[in-house]
Amino acid sequence: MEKEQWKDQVLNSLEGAKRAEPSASLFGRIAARLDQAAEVKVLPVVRPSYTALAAACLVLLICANIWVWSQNKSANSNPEVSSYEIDNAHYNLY
Amino acid sequence: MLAPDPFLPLIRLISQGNEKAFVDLYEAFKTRVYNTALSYLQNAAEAEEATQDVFIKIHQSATRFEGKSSVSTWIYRITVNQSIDKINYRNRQKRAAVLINLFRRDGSELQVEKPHFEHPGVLLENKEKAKILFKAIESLSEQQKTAFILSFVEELPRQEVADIMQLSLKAVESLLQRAKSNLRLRLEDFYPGRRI
Repeated sequence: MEKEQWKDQVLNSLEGAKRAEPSASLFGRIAARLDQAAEVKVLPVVRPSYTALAAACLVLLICANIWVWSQNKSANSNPEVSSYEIDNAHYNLY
Repeated sequence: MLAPDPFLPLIRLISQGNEKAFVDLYEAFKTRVYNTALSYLQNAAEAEEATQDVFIKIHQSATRFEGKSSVSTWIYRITVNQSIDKINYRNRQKRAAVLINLFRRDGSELQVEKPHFEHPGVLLENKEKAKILFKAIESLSEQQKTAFILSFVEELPRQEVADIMQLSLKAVESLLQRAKSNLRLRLEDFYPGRRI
């Protein structure tokens, strides 16, 4: 019984509590963060040049890879001829 | 016919870049936002950080506010979400600290447990009991905690709690019932003179 009464008191312990106030400087900090956010919004005007450079490098790399791959492919495109040449070369040894 | 939302014109002005309207809205809601965050986070510095995040979010999303709920409900919803995000972040930090402590060789430990929270506005004679209550509130599930804080700490009407949580009135009543019975169970552990 006593325990239940104590629980009730704990559950009601916030009755009559005053509201806490945030510090007076809080709005200043919010305003500063909003100003910072506004500056960040301007930054993308400068940034695309780096992004474009990175994208160009990537495209160049992909093109180079495709070119190397196509060169290898054309080199191996006629295997009969090359094996025939190898065979001839072998015969020339004797 | 419902009365028009008195804060709606402020939101419209904020969306047009009116800084004075933002200051007025801040003055109208700072205490509500801060106290709600404080009840969740139980730490003054973190509650101030959450309050900053809430007002920045309001400033950035004012243009997207459609007026489907009242401004107050919208702001409380942002506050609850920011507070829950902060708690989740803190819990992740706590888990990381536990892991780091396992591998520390110099004997020092990162602080994992936070001290009991003392609400600055609680009456002197209730301070110890309120400390216990806040400790017990931490053990509630996210939804039960939200329903309890908004109803019994913030003292909002049940219908507004339901609107903030986007639940029916009946669902909120049921959450509150369960929250209270879970708190009573949890309080067993704190009862003075309890046998261990």
